[in-house]
Amino acid sequence: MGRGPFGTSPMVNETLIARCLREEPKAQYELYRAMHGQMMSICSRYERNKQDAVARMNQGFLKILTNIDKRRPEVPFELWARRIMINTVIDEYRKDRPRKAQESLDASLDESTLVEVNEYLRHMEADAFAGLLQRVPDMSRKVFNLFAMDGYAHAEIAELLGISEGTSKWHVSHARQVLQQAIAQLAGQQAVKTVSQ
Amino acid sequence: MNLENEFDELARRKLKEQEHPFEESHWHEAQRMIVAQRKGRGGRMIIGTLALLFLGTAAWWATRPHDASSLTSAAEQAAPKAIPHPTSSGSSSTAVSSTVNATRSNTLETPAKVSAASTSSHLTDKATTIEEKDLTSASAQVQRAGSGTRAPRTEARASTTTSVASTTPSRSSDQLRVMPSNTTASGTRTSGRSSATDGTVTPTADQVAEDAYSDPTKRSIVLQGTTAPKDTDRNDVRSDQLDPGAPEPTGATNDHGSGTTVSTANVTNEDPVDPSSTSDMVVTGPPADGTRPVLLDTTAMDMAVDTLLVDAPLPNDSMATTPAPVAAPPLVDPRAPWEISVLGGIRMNNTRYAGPLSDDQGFTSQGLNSSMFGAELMHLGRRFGVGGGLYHSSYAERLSVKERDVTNMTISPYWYLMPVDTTILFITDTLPGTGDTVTYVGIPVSTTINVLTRSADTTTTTERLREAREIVNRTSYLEVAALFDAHLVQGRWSMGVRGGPTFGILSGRKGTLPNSTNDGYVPFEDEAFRELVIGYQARAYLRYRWNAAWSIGLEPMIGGQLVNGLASGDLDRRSMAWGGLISLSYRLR
Repeated sequence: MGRGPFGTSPMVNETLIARCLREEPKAQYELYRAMHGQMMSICSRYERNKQDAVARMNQGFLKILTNIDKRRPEVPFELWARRIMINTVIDEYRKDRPRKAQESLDASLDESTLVEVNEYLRHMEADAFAGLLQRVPDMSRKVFNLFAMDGYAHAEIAELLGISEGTSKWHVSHARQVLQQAIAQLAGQQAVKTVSQ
Repeated sequence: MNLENEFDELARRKLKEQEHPFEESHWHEAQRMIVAQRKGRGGRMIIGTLALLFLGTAAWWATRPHDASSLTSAAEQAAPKAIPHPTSSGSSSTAVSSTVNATRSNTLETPAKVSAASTSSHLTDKATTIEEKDLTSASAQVQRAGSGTRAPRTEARASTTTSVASTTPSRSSDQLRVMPSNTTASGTRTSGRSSATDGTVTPTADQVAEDAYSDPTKRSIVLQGTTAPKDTDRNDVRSDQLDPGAPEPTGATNDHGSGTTVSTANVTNEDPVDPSSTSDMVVTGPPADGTRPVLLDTTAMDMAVDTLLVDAPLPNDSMATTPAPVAAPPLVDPRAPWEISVLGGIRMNNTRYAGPLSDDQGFTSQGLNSSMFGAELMHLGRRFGVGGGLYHSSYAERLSVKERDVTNMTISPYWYLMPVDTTILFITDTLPGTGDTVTYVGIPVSTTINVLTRSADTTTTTERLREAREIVNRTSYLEVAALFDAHLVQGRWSMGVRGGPTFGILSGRKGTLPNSTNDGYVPFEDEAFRELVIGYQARAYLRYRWNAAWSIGLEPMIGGQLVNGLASGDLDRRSMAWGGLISLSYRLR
């Protein structure tokens, strides 16, 4: 058994799940350890800082443990757990709906710059990109994550977050622009520094 | 569009590459949440079980047949052993029981029961002149039906014949349980004790009769014999006819039975039974507390049973009047409806924070135990009541506030000289050419020039805005409640529900909250609180009353605030609590 589609550890198997159903603390620890990477990856994308991401991850893990008996056997555990994590994040968002986004769109970049941005991103460090993602406003980041990372359609996002499809599209576009501009800026600085050396 | 898709794909790939190494501290936090959830689940199960128990008991209470039980208890009080054990035949047999059926032998174990039989015996003794003709029809019928199966025992008791049975000539439509009886082969209605047969020491007939009729509570009559033709006057048969010293009643029963007819008072005779049938019954007299008497069947199990339930009381005096049934006096005087209670207990709190700032506050709230005590004054009716209460309630919670960091990325533009290697041509001479042309002579010089260039420095700084902190917050309120009560009372136990709106006046506060700018803390003293908070309280209770005045109760309760306890508007703080109280109540008289 190789790594799952979302980088899940191969240690999550039905035996471990069955032990978790019996509420064995050691099994819960093993499951947590096995799922940590995937869960943290999801939560850190959606949350602004690491503390919030950890809190959300643990909240989601608790939901996984609580509802593990309700999982249908034909659904892969990793997919099911991922869905729960995303739902946890969205539920929290619904509870504490943030203020209306007041960000304004910056001017979009021209096509040649976008090509450069993509090229730069291709070679960029993953952590650096994750850092840039945190610069995207909350709501836009969530919508962008749902759309671009987790494959939700705009209609689904609109239903999940209680917004219109048009607003969802706007948020995706906005997040993309913020990221692209940040990357372009980084790329520009890199070019300048290279010249100066 | 393609560029955007490519960007998304690249972004997805980048984030997948990101690694999140496992940290034990994360697990510790998760573990704490798991344990807390398990504890909460246990608490909910206890509450659910208690609620189910309460509801089940209430349902049982509400649906049980109170009237029948009160009748039974009244009968038991009057003649606790009036109902014979069908299997204990013969051991303490009496004339009556043995005559009819040995299984009725225990009927007369108690004085009250003995009295009736003895009375019969007494009457028989006195009524040696009783016209046997009145018995003949029944006797003959009994003889026809009797087949002599119990002849030996019957014969032994045949001398104590009474005509009591003749007073029950018919099915008492709704008063008596009348049994067709395969009584006595001898054809005589046998009554009275035959203690000689079993050696049981019993009072004499006179003693018993006197006892039975001087004290109505001990009255118990064994009626036995054949039914007689319908007689409309039988309702008027009076028990004083049993008194040998009493004058013979007129127009009562002489025409259908002996002059010693024993009235069971209010035996209705509108519906006579087949004369061939006999009846056999025990009527327990009215108990001392005045509850209605019960006619108890002592007929053996092997006898055909045709039951009619007693529904009317026997007279307390010799006259066949019908006293109204008097219920057992309640433990609590209904004329004293006011009750004062003091109560106190422990509650588990749950305080929720919400509002515009709460999503950025970065703290969690965990409920703590707190106390509640107070007093109530209630006006209680039979089922419902109203009143008020005054309590001192505390709400406590533990806030776990995380540290708050902010990461600033500062981009600082600056200018610098960038050296650029280049070649410069120095003109050293000018040579005139043909015409207007001029030829310049120069020397190329390789040099480095500095070009003024603009750039920016990015500085990332992480600043700790707020340290992590564990805080215990506590608020106290003086709560005034309007209470509504619904209850059920059964003997010394009562159960009910009580609750209503509360108005809490802030009486104390101690604690700290993260401030609205997320960079520190604000003490409760500086936080704006509402001085008056509307809430609710609901309780269920089970109380035991050990006398007319005092009772003690156990009361699970839930209560809380319906409005925001804070007045600043940045945060919404609502507390609720559940727990158990012990109450001590005094009925004002």
